Amino acid sequence: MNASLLSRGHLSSEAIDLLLLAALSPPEANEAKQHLDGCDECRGRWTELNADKQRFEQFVFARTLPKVEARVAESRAGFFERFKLRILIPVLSVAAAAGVVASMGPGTQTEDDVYVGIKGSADASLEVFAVRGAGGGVFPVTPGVTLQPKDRIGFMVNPAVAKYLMVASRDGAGVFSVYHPFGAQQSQPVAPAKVKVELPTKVELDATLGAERVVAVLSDEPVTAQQVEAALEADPANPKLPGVRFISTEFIKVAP
Amino acid sequence: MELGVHSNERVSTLYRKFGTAIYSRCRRLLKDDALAEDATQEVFVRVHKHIESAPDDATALAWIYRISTNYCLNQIRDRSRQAEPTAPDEMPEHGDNASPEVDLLDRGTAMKLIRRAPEKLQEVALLYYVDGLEQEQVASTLGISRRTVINRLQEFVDRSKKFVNREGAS
Ligand SMILES: [Zn+2]
Repeated sequence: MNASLLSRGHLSSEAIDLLLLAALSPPEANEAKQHLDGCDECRGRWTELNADKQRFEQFVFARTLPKVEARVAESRAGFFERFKLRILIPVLSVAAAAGVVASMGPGTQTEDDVYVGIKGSADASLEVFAVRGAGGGVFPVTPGVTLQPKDRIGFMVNPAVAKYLMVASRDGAGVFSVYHPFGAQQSQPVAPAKVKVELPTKVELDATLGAERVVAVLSDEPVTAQQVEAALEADPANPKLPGVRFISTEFIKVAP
Repeated sequence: MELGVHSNERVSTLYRKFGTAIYSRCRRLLKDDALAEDATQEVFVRVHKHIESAPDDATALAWIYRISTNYCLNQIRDRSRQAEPTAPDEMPEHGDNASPEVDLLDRGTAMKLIRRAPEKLQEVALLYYVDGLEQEQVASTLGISRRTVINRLQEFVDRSKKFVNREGAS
């Protein structure tokens, strides 16, 4: 407990709440109960708290939990938005210094693409970026960057004129997963954007080590996860499906 | 592969566990059921925003208190803008110990007076009178010196005497 159990003759807020949660140690709980028996003021607070508990559990919790969860999901997207600004800076400096663009795969990208959101681009692209640890910064996953289990990765995709999008992966053990929409059976409609959009999905990498290929699957008609899995199985480096544009990148996952 | 849902789940777990305590606290502070319900949700959305710095379970409640205190005090300020700020040079200096009258103010009266107090006195008064922290604990929670805590409590009591004298302890 942070506060003292009794403070200036009465139970602290924390003590009374922890008593309700049955989270005090047995001697503390005894002392708190003894105080309640002898103190009208604290007993009054205890009665109010129990009435609030009933009200909260009967009515408030059920109707507010979905709202809290929805807001949390929204703010995760916002969390990612903030990453975007920070990620543009290292990408820009890499591009300027080396004359190369921090992009990957056959979805060729020009240096202009780095200014996405400002200028927009007609060309489809996929960028993967990652965060390591709790307070870690965002870094772009460019060829040669190694990742680790528990790193979280996110995606920025320019679908250009495509109408359907899926982001899928084949990991170091050859296991296929659909990352966006996470676990989906087929690609999902996407507004032809011509600018990079940040996908809300964030994926925490598991312990499987080795080379993992990530593909953006762009098409005019929906494509099933099975088709994509088969195409990646047949040729992981260069998957093909009729009417589908694959933009692919690969990273190596190593033990920390 | 696994979707990064840990922090969402953690918020839901904290909400399940501490929702009652925070809801009750918001009802006490805001004195309005609907506002308390909204406030409770907002507090847990903020909990999620800072989930990376959330302490473990043993001290999580105190941490969430802090978020709810800030939220509710802001709501109170938004609703009543009459509380005039006090410039630092107006702050009377008190010695290393507050006068005994600081401890004579009861919890219920303090709760009423907090709404009309200047912003800088509100949180100190709330932690001390409503939450029952010791002066040292108020100081370390807010990252201010104990002497500042004493000064603010004394000023809070001095101001409250005027209110009590003028309006009765309503
Ligand atoms: Zn008591």
